[in-house]
Amino acid sequence: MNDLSANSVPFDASLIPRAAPPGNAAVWVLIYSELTEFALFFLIFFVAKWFHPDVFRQGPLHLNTLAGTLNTLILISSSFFVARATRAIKIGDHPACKRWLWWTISAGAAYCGVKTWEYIWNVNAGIHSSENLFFSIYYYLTFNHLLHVLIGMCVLLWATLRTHFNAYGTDDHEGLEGAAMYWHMIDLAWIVIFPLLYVVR
Amino acid sequence: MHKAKDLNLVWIALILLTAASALIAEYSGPSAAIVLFVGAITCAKGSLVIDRFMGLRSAPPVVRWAMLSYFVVFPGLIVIFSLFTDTAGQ
Repeated sequence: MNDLSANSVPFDASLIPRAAPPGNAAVWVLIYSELTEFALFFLIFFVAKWFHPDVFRQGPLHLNTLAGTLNTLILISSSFFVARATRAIKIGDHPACKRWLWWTISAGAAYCGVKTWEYIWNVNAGIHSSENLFFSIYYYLTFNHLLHVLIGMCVLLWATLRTHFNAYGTDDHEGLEGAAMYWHMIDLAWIVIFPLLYVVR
Repeated sequence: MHKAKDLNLVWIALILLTAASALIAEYSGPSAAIVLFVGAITCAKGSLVIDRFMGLRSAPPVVRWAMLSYFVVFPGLIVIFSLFTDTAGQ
């Protein structure tokens, strides 16, 4: 019997090829583009805050912190659900994958419901986008984010449909991973938006 | 691939970090320590989602670090602009 250890070369971790990122190249171009778009609006927020510190110090005091917190908890949970869906497809558990995907889509719908309640609450509290620069940026950022949630829900619905028809398997689930990565990106953008608009005063 | 139990624990950690941020938003007054704490929480939450939920710990380093740097730069800017504009306002 050959003694393999006798012929082995010293271990060099750098020679081990790293795994490709989940999803595909197109999804990652989209994710970086979307995060760049959000980054530009964050920068606009900072510049506006620099020139109007009082407006930006008072603005968050008028927002519905409960709605912001609920939506943060919902999006964090939805990210967990879609991570569980991705894990389920990797072990070939299609029913569990579909179940987790439906939980994710339901969380997206809950986010839209809370956001609608928040906007109605704002109107009743006399908060309008034209009131000052803080609220203009607040409405632009949150509405833009809401549109991304709606797009993400459509993408996840498509992935759920394909999972239902067994289009994904343990070795072939690039499309589902891509949809999951896009959804995580939506959660990541909100993780910055929450302290920016609701917490830091 | 992460174990289901690991994902569950990360989810609980993220919920607790969010609750901490919310409590700060509701009950604390403005202070440099609070702003630094919120910035650290934001950084930690982003890192957990990127490494654990997205599974980028085993991805090519350039992909992972591009994402992680987002959660160093923007929480950092939140802290800097909050502290400096407060100083400017006073």
